[in-house]
Amino acid sequence: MGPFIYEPRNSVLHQVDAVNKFVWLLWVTVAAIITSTPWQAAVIYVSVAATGIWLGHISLTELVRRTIHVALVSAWLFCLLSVISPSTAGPSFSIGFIRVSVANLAYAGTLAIRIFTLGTASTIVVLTTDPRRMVAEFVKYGHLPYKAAFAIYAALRFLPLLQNEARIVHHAHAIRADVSGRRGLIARFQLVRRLSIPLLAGSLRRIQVMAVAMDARGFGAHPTRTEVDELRRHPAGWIIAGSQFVLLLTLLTWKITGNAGNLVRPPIGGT
Amino acid sequence: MAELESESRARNPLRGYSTKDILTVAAISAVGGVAGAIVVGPWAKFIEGLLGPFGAALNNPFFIFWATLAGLLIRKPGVALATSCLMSFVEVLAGSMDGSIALIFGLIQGIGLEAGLAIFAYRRHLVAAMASCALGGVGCAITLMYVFGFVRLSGSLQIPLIVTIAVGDGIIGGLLANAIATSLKRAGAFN
Repeated sequence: MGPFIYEPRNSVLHQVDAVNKFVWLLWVTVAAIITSTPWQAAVIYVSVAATGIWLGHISLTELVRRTIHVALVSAWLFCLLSVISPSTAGPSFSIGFIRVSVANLAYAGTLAIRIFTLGTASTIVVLTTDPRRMVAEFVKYGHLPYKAAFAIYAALRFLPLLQNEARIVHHAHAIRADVSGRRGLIARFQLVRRLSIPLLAGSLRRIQVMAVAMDARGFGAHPTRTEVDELRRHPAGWIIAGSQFVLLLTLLTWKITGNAGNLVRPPIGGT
Repeated sequence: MAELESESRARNPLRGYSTKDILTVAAISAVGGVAGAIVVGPWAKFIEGLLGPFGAALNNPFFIFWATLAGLLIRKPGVALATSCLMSFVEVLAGSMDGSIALIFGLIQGIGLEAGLAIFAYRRHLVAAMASCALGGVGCAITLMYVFGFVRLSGSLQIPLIVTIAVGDGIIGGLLANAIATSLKRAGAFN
């Protein structure tokens, strides 16, 4: 559906409902944010990668390919935080004229792995979640009001329509103004500027017609809607979300009890 | 039939929003989310690679102005926040470089965007748009500090970081959102 990266496959994760997957993502996000050492962050990352590879049938090569841009962001963050963090007591070394402490390296490493983990987890969720089924599952299992869920569905449905319209407007401009051969950043910026208002204006006009049509068919008149797709909740969803929650509780308990030999650090920020 | 209708309205948390409002939020979120993931995201990584977290002042406006635009067009409470959250959701589905962190940004920025419009009673004018985007920028700065770890910067850098992002977002995002809202109104695309 449009630019989304969902890939249909026969795996456990593909059969798990979207609500449990997003709960799993929520626990991963909380766990990643409260980690304060590289080892803790690495454990969370390994649990996420293992879930994607074994339960989502995503090969390691594909996972690496899909998350390479997140890895680059993490690497950049690691370098930046290692250098700009205030100097701390403890062992340190020099790279050229820059002084880097081991404590800052650990902090930067924790943050870098955190960002990488969150990017990987959300990549796994979107690779294994059908956007169309997802909306119906949020209504049935997440008890989201169907009008709000329809907003999500409409947002997903608009994209191929907008892509098609953008292509038509672009070709019309190309014929009239002979801009099709131009390349470069300025040409791209001009294209976006030329397309944005016509696309938005066209969409908003279409919306007014759609809204009248939907209201005429009784949209919103009743508290529930009948779904075409038959939905079934795979039991593995509870196990996957539950085990991530257990891992989060374990991490929290480890941090709260102060674990022997380590300083208790604030969960967020790690200072 | 009338009883069923009133019962339905009483239980419906979206009863203040028409179908047109919901579709408008959906359309703007769709465009904004995909633009954020595919166009603005790479620019953000480039500019932040050069300028560090201060670079967010030059990329974050293009992420957040969509929600302010929706708030200026529909002018009802909760629209900017809903658009920001839905847009970040679409961004994640479209393969955002930030992954699920985009959802956190969407929520916290959305609260700021909503607050800015609420201060001016959801009136459609430039100052409201700039206030909305500026407070959205404050939300972005807070999220950057606590999720990306820039809270470790010294206090003498944290305040300028918040101010820089708020000012950048307020000026660029506010001007953009107000200009597009005015153009759409003049084009007769939205009443």
